Amino acid sequence: MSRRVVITGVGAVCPLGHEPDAIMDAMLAGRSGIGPLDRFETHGFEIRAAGQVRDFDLANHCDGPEARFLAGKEDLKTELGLAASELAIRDAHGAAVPASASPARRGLYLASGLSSNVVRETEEDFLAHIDPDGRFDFGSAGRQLEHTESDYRWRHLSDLAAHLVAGRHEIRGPVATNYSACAAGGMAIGQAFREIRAGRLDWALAGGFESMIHPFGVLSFQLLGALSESDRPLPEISRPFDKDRDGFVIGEGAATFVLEPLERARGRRIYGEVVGFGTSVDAYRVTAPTPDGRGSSLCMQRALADAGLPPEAVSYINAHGTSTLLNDVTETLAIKRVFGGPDTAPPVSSTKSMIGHGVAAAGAVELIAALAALRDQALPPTINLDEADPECDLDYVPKAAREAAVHVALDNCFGFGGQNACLAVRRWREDG
Amino acid sequence: MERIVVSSASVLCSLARDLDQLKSAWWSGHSGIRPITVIDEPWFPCPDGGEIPDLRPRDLVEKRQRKHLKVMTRPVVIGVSTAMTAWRGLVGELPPPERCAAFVGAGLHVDEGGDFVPPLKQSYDDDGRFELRRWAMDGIPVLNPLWLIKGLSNNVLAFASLFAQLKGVNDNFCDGEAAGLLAVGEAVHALREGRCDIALAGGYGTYLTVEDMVGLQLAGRLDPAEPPGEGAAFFVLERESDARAAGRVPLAWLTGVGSCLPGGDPLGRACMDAGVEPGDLDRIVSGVAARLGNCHGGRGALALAVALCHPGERVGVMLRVPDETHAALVVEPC
Repeated sequence: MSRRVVITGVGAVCPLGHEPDAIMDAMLAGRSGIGPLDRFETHGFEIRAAGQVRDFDLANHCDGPEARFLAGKEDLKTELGLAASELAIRDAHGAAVPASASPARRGLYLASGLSSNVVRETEEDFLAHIDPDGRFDFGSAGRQLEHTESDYRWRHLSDLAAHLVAGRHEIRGPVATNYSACAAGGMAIGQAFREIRAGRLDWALAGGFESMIHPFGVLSFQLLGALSESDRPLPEISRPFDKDRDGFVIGEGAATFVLEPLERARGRRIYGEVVGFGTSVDAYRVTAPTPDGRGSSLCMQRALADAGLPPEAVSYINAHGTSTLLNDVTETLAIKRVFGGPDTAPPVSSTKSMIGHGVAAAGAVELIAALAALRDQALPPTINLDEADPECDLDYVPKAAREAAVHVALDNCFGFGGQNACLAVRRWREDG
Repeated sequence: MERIVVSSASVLCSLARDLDQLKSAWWSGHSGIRPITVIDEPWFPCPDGGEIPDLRPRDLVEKRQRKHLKVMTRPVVIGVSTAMTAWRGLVGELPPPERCAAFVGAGLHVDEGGDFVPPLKQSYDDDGRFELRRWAMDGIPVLNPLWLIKGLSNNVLAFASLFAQLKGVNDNFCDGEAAGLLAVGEAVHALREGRCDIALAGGYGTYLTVEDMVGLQLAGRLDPAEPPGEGAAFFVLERESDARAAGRVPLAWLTGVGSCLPGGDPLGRACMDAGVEPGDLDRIVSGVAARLGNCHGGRGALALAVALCHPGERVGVMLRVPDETHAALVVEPC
């Protein structure tokens, strides 16, 4: 069995808003969601900018026992995932998943990243038990046992959001929590697409959620030298493909999508049709992509082959486009491997210029940009692209959106460790 | 639909360093539970666990690959070496790298605790209170800059792909103790659908870290009946015709896969996938942690390895850890 798979619901919470059409509008308007990194005391950190989700209150999106369970746990990552999931299901169905999709035929594929432990917890659980010699004192930890909250194990679990969503919506079918670093969001959506296409599921919720805007998360990327330390005005710091880029801006957010077979979706809003999915591994270095772009080109080729489409069918590529020195050059090379040179490659843009790098959620949130291109027949821009790096010689839709006939769009997401994923989505029209 | 076979298998756990050892020890009734030495703390309330004895990471990787050890935690070394042993166990011609896939189930282990101690010692104020500002100013500069990379949960997939030159489709799962079974299940799907010609799949993990042990302790999950452990199991899967054409002798068929969240029936799903009834199974393997230790992301894959220790039987492998993702496989004799 091979079925057509369409997106019937979108839920998103990101630095550009909490509603998919508003986020699409903002992306096409070239609005920046980058602002000050002000979630914690940053004195001593060298980073000033972040793509923070603002004005977010889980209670506005979900008021059930799941929200009460998360209250006070400071687990923003899971809150974002739960909120986006609720929004997507509401967007697709108004309220609950329809009974026509039996619970056993519903699937859940969510991507997440590293722990988002907060300093308070670290202080209480670990730091308090480190003795003057720097050794962990198990005895001290043990004596605190009776005073510790009983749901300790639920803190920041990567699959906690999946459990909460599944319980709330009677999802009893296959489930997977994807951890493929920055490729995870695309991986999760692609897996859900395959399950529905193959006829193993009738309904799936898929996407990614992430927040590493906490001291340990920011620290990890700062130590690797991956974050921009630019002193430019904050909205101008994330500048993929620009000759003066110097690293990425940390972002956060969540985006989830309701995927259904076309025959179950007729008569409702269809954001787009998922037509192909490809993955690859660089198998080069854990910390760097293949210099010639060969590794990431494979996932694009596989997505096109999976979709049965030639390269010339692609109208737009939403790039991984991190704004790091390495990624943007190698991604350009990868695109040229698949599509030829600047004259034949489709327009490419990086919406990380507006929202920063959402890490495990990036591929999912950026799929919204691809859907925006399909919706408005316009290309989201790469803002802040004043002068392209000489090694980045494609059309990156600099500064402002522009109209274009967009039939097929690709969403690239590449991860640390060399994992790559690419999704292909097609404009859906009732008349085919 | 063509059957998927296990062409090679590798195990590294408290009870064995290969599948033959595991088979022998399992049937002899041996246990791998022994005093924990990796955390030298006699007070600790669970002194025994499934620790791999005499494990020297340097001995587990090839000499030319030892430079990578500085970016691998102990569980990553266990996972990578087990994966590579399974891969090297293949005989005959292999498909091109672009058709070789990797699917890994992993635990989340960011660091080994020790990396954080030096910066933490810099971060207390005069009253002994942790101070974020001190940590940022004085602690961060002495923190190992490779701290994040060492324990990334897709590290095993990354290194195994690098060492074995696996450039095909791939995925990495972090669904608690069922992660390894999910990875094997996804490999089965990928092979059935023709997305790859051969797949390295399995899981690895540990609960023998300070963070995990304290976490288990605080959560009230430090169960002496299933003490913490460490280990990995990896398998090479392919379509039966490809295996036989290459002269590889299959160890078993993997005929059914299933997963679900709590409340569902993973074994029922796997049996349905295999076209059998649960009553047709000769055995169900699920409780390996009592003798191997609970190896977190490696637990499910080790259960599959134990299932392979029962040749001639149709075995259901199932993990239904409360509040965690459930997964199951059906293994049948070739």
